[in-house]
Amino acid sequence: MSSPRKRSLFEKASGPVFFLSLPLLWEAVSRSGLVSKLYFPTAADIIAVWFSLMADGTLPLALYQTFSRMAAGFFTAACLMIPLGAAIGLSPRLRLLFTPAIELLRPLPPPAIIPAAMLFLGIGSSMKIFVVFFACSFPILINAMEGARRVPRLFTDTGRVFGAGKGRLIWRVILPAASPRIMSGLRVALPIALIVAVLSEMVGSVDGVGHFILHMQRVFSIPQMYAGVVTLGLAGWIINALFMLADRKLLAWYGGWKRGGA
Amino acid sequence: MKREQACRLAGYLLPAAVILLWEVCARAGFIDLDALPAPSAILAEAANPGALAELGGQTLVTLRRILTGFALGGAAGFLLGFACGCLPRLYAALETIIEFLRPMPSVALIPIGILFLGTGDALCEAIVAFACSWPVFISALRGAGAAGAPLVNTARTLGASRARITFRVILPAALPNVFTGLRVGLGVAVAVAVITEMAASGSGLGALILSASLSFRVALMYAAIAAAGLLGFTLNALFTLTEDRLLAWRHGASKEAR
Repeated sequence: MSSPRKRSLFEKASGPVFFLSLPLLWEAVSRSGLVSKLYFPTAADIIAVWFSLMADGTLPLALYQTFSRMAAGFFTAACLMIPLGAAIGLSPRLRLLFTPAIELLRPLPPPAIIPAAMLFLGIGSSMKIFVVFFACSFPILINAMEGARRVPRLFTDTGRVFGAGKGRLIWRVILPAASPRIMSGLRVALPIALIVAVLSEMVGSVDGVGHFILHMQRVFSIPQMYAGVVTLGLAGWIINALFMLADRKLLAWYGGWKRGGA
Repeated sequence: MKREQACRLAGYLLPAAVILLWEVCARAGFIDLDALPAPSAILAEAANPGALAELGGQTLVTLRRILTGFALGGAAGFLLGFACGCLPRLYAALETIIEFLRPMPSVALIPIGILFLGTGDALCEAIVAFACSWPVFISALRGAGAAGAPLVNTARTLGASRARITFRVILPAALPNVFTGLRVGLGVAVAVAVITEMAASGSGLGALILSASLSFRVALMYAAIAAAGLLGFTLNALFTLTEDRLLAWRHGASKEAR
């Protein structure tokens, strides 16, 4: 993005300063009475409620429910769709065979299948895991396909010249070369997984963070509702940060390789 | 070559074969018709005038919300992203807030939105705008760097003013990136419109899918799901067509660069 020039003190400090001024601004708007206090409780109220909900175990339990479903769906999709995508990407015949079916299903908005999944699987965890799995599958599959397809001919030919067998070629040449693309598919799928998990709890559920937030809104426990939203925002942010960290560690070689101009 | 053609044909036949198998299984009683009616029953339901009018009407409601929200979110994401890309100081000041808001799951904002906007069009459009502005923001931010130092410096050497460089050099070079972001954003807009209608709204395709499911009008539900898929497909196809028209120059430009 921006060139790696040195950042001035102003630029380093301004980000956190602006960010920290956000709750203060919130507090000021709430106290000034510009917006109804019922809808817009003070930041102090929200933070106090958040701590009590964390301490009495309500939010941690809801978070655990949401995240276990999200993780189950996400990892199932990754385990099935990466090999499938790589196989389709490597074989022109498989690609021709599956492309129409994939293009037919791809434009379907994943949340649209929640009510159908409810008919088959009820409103328990299995329905949510399935919906998360379905929603994550397409970005993972398509990126794995593209990654495997775009491995430069030079790499595979070089591997072959050095006598690598088919298995070795796939594991040591093709998969590493496709891994940046595979990772970007996983990165796209991760926020989708969280959104769909929360939504499936809002539409058909009696637990999880999604149900908690919507329920609190319906019974007009507004500070509790905001506390739930803040929790989700924090959780989304932490997941994203963890993934970025893993991405940097796993693909550390890729940045240098790209700059090297291969 | 011949085997390739056979594979291509098999590819087109595969979805047809699955639908045929589904029909046969449904008629033979292998599947629970209360959960999954036969394709012919779904088609018959979709062709029935009352259901067709309902499907068409709700599709139009959803389409209007998607287009309004996408226009608002796309414009906001583009302006903010392009401004941040051109002005590093602005980006440094806003980066922390943006990086906190961006991973926020858009569904989490629905309950807050209900408080301020009710459950009508405004809610749906606002959530759609929020969700689809992020891909556009990121692509405009990256796109602003796409022109690269050689082009910008050349323009500067030739005496172009700052405004002229921004609008005649940096902006055109950013457009291919921006359009990629817009296309992703349009897909997000379709999904989020359906999401919002399901979680909080009496109208639109999302609400129709959910209410049909809850009232056990299962064939109608599947017809509405298919309508949502068709809507997403059509919008994406129209967008790709527009993109190819507007950015036709880019293929020539990238050929030259090679």
